[in-house]
Amino acid sequence: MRRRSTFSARTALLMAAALLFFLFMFTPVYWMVATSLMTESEMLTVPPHFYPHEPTLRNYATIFGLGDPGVLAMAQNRAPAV
Amino acid sequence: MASRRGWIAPREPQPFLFFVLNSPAILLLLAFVLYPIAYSFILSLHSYNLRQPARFRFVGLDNYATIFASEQFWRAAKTTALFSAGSITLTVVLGTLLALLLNERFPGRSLLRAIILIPWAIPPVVNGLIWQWLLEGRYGLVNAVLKGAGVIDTYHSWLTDYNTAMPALIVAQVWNHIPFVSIVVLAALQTIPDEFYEAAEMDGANLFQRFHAITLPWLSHSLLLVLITQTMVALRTFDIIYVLTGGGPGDSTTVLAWLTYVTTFNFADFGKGNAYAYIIAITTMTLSVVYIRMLWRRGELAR
Repeated sequence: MRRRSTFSARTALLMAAALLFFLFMFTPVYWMVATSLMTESEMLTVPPHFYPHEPTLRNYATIFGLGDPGVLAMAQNRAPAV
Repeated sequence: MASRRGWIAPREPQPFLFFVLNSPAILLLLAFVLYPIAYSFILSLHSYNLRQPARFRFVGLDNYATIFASEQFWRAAKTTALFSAGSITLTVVLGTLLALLLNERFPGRSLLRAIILIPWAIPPVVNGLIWQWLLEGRYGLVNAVLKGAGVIDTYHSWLTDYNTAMPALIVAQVWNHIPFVSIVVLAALQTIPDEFYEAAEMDGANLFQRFHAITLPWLSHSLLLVLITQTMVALRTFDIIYVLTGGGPGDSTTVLAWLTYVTTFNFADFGKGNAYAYIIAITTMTLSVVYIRMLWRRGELAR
């Protein structure tokens, strides 16, 4: 029984370390995707929503030129990034 | 070892044939590698400012002399050293730890192995944009999480504070480069025969002793590779600085690569800019040689 308990403590320790690495490596990617699914006004809420409350694909539509013409024109006139 | 009757005698040197057969590769290398390097060096020996294009003349090592005499250069060199030391150390240490972790068995290992590859697939400029958004002063996730956890009392503008801009850059750089280190080190870890560890365990070696006597020497060549590539990457890091801080605030993140860019394209001083580029290249080469001297021999001795 002792052998088994040390084994599971070791596994728990490994998994805790794995969780830390997971959070560090994955959060930025998650945040990038989550933000891409938000509308601009939701993106700029304080404090931020940790997940999109009303997910929308409009940003992707805009990129591919499928959006509503007004939004599209605005997006094209805007300075890149920032 | 009897002499073979082929149409090429193997021991006979064929210098001419060697060059003919390799000529495509040699020509390409000459045109696309050697020529730009040589041209850049020639430019660095000239006074060549696009604002005064008529005053193109040979000045010898004057550009280098001006650079080495300027305080700006030494401040940038210090900043580069700080950035490189921080990012290389963190990348290599965290990447190796992650590789050691991924070499063990635990539930969720394959998921983590897949996920840590994502940052590697992200281009440096996008990496900069991601971290810019994360570290944003008003809407950033980092502020919200840290405030929620009670670490900070008020929102902090990480990228525009003289003291936190450099750490923020280092974190972004480390995040982007950990996967490469982990993959290389993990590949090396998987080639270590289990018998070594079994024998060491029989002899009563503890975890640290096993790591020091088996794992580390076995990894030395991979670590050498990782150190050299990471040093090269760190010394010429430009893109994330361009996106995240633009060399500021003040000159807190003005590294040599940024100074090269500003000199060449903002001040249009091609001569001095190329001299800067050469200084970076020579520093990188020197450091690589030092690493190889240090680690290669240690690896050979350990085998």
